Amino acid sequence: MKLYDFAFKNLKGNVYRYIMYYLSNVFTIAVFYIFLNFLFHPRLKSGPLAPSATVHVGAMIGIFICLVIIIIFTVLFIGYATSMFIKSRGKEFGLLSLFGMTNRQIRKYVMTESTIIAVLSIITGLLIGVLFSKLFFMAMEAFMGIALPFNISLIALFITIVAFFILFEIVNLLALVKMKNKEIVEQLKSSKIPKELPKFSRRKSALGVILLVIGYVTAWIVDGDLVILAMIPVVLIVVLGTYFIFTQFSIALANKLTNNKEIFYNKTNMIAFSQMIFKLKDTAKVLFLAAILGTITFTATETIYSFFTVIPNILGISNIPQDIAIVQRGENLYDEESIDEAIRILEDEGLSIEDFFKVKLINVTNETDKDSDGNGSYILAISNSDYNMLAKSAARETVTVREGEAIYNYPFMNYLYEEETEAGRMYPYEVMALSLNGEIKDFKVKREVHGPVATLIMRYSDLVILNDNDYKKLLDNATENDLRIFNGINVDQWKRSYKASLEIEDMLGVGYDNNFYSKAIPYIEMRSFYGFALFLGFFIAFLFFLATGSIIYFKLFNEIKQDGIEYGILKKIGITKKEMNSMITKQIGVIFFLPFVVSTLHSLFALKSLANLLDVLLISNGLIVMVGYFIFQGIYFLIIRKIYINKINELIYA
Amino acid sequence: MFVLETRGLSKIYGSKGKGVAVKALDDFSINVKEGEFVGIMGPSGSGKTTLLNILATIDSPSSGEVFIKGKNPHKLDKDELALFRRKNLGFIFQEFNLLDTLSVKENIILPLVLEGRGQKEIEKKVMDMANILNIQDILNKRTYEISGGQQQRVACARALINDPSIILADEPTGNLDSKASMDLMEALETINKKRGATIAMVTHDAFAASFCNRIVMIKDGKFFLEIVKSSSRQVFFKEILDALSLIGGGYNETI
Repeated sequence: MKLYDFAFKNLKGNVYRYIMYYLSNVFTIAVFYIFLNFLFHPRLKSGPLAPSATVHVGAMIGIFICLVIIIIFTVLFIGYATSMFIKSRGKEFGLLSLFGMTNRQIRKYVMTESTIIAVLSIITGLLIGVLFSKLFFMAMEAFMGIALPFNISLIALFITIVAFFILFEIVNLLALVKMKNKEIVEQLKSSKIPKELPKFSRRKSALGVILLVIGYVTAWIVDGDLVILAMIPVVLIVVLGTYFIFTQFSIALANKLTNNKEIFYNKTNMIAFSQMIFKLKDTAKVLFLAAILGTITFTATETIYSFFTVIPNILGISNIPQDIAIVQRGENLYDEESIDEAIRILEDEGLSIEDFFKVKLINVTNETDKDSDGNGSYILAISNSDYNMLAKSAARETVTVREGEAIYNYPFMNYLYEEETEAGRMYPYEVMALSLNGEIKDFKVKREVHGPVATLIMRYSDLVILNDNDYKKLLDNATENDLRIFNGINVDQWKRSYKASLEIEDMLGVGYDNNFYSKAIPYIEMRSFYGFALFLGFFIAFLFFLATGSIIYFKLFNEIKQDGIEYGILKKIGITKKEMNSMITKQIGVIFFLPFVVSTLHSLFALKSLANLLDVLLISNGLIVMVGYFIFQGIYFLIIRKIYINKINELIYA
Repeated sequence: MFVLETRGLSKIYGSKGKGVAVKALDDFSINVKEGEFVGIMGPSGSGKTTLLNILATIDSPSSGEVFIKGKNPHKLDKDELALFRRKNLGFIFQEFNLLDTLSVKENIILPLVLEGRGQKEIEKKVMDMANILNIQDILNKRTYEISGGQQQRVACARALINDPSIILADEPTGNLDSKASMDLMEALETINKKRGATIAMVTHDAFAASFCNRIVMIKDGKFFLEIVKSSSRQVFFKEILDALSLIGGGYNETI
């Protein structure tokens, strides 16, 4: 029997130990290959760019960043896992040296084992990567709007194999170099020495809680631009607090529970809690890391998801009155054909027209509001009845203007504006001298109203509302050049009007540049951008999840023989299967969900802080993402609980 | 009234056509009265441990029946059996089998806690036990902080705390030095005499066995002979040694 067979047999016998580590490796390698395969897709190099160049470059950069994250994370993950594996096998190594294996041989033996795992992981990872590449391409096709035929990039394959193989080998070698040589007797005894009751420091546990409270309160109350200033200190405080929560406070709390006889002397609680203290101690640092990684991924994906759902607010779309707007001016002034065609396109897409407004506006010069060169500013005049019609449909206040007077309409919302005190007023003058083709007339500005009533033009130009008679007089004096005809269309489901809008834009051509607007275009583009980020975010989140889960899994299963002995004693004394399962569920449940709960709390406060900065509501959407993660975590928990219970049964009924 | 009755117990290992079948127990019967302290002795491989495992209900006989307080536990399913053990049996093992994660006191009260008894009762009983076994001072220590003898006395307290019908001890002195053995056996004698606990103990050790009222010897899975204590422990010890020389086997070097 060669060393290789020996290593292989050992792995086979300990499959349950390495399975989760192996699976996370497989997943990491598969994702890495899928991303790399995309980057090397020939279509992206030679073919025309995606319809939107921003999207094209954005996708490439997004994927590239993910690749870097994966590599960094993998180095840390493999390094930690390997040194953990080596530490857990003290007794085995002791036995091997007892039988006369040299240190060199033991290292070679461990190296052979890790190489077998590495090769297996790479092979399976690549297989899965190749299989799921097509699925990923389909997702990217949907996002980028270009066709990506199935393709297996040999360069990507080569890079993945070489990169991961080297990575595995180097990290393993480093871990082996760090391996300590203890006395053989010590090694043999290592698993038999009973563990001392974990100690904790009251001060440090209190400090952990205080730090968290400080961090949370700051995150909750700090508002506006101060958030950016507070961010780094708060993150540091919370990370430090979390560390103490896991290494000190959790043990202190479990200890407190064991001192409460009402709870502790209650059937299976006694064993479950007392064992939990030891398990918490053993896994504290891993749980801490899991909580921090979880916080990062939760916060990132929740934020992206929130943005995803509040895109209309971010873009200001929700304030835009009409879904689609076309302005006729100059040579297009009487081009009714295009308007009819646009409506036909919308209806062909299955959208029904709910409102159609046609409003004539006059471009006048306001001689009162002069710039530094002494030229008056342009302003659009609208008749009182037209304004009221638009205002009504946009659910804004209607107004009445008397002859000789005017009301100024500022097309944005100024939240500082108060009608009575005139604080935050946007038009500083009492009068408005409107000039058109040489005629000047003064209007008294009675008041001003804020908020847009018509799409597009109002976003670039202020509006002055005139009495219908004054407006008519002005209109008589206007030439075709001074006129703007605004066509505002509301459809029943504007979010579905993206395709039609692009078609209309095409149909209108360059003549209507800057005179056509559809809410759906920025909305859909933004949405697919966030959707893509979310998509990548979930990939990374899943990777972190699996990796931290596999480390927790290993920590649990490392001690399973000892646990088996304890459950064996309990079995002789007499515990039912149900009681045993309830103890196991309590213990694994705490270990599994503690980091999850902490990450959730952290991320909710982070979201609140972000919401303070951006002035949007994020938490409710964050909770939706949380529920998703919770379900995933729950399934993961149930699987591991099942494996654990089976293994314990195998040990005690053997 | 017999606390423990068995009828024609047999246990055959490795049957079903695979390998050589070994008869670990062959038509063996033993009855234990309430308040008795019975020792079971025999050379290595005589079937003592198999017998104790069957009595402890963690192994089932190939044929024959066991009655504990008139009830046959081998007819119960696994979970019922677990509850049966918890209520009716107390165990003392060679390796103490204390849980390292629990303190001494918690180890003792474990059966009561699992039963969901009230706190007052638990506190009262644990103090009772501690006084009898002289372990009051170590109740709050961890298992690794106390000596082997103390650990075994803690195990005794755990076995006794829920007033079981019978205590089964498997080589309780096997891991103890002579002083600790003496202490332990005296403790068992005390709980047998003062509390009227019924004890069945498997042992190799003639000295430990001399504390019993009656010794049943077993050889090759069969009943070999029985001796009853008639006068002092010293005399009984001699009688046991004589019987052991008769039985031969693994005892030659012990003597």
